[in-house]
Amino acid sequence: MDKMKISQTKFGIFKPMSKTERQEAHSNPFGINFKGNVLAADVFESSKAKEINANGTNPFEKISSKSKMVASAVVGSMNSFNEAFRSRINSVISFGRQIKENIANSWEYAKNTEIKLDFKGLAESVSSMFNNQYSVNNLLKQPVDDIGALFASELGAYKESLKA
Amino acid sequence: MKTINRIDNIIEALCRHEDPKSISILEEIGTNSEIDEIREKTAHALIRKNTPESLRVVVSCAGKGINDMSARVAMSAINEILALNDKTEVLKVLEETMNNEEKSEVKDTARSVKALITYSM
Repeated sequence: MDKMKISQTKFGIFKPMSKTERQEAHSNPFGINFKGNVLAADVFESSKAKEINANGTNPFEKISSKSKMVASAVVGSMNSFNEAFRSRINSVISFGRQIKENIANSWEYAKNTEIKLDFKGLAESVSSMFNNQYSVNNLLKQPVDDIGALFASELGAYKESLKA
Repeated sequence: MKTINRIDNIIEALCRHEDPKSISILEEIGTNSEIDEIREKTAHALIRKNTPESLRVVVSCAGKGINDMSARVAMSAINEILALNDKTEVLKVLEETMNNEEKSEVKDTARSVKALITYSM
């Protein structure tokens, strides 16, 4: 048995419509146009087929009409997919170029910049930020008697806070 | 900074201080406090100091450290002793307390803690 090719089929489902035909098709009551690529396929189940199906004589009719609908949707979306793919790949390429240029510029800047780490200044700024009389390190610098006096006063304040 | 955090830092500073007077300050102010939490923190600091003088306060003194009336403070102090890396000093102080202490309660507690340390080693 010879294999049937799509080009040899007599069905017009893969044949794109002319502009006027498209406009006519737009007037369908369901408003489905697959982004302008309307195909000449009968994707809706006919009332006749429904009758046969109800009698139980043709159980595969429903499946074939569904597959027709899927096929027409796929073919219709191919053109729009091509355009979308092209525009996306172009934006990816331009993004890549921009990144490359940015890296090159940053490298040039880094080569011409002197990096100096001021640890002493950093330590001073950190200690000034957290300069706290009650930090363990600061307390250790004080004489024991002073720490004892602080201990007694803080303990008194804590007792008062517990009573309140 | 909250008052309790300031007290924590003060106790920690006294714990790290090398001046032997820090022990007497911790004993006078910390272990005599009426607040359980403060007595507990002070006992921990004295144990972490891990000197014979500081350990004598928490092991040999009645009502302080492992002999505290509060079970929470006493158990916490025992736990801190068990967590010490070097237990040689504390074992010496416990032995000394078992042999020389007059109060039988303190003696018994020292014996129990020594047994705990021996089993946990």
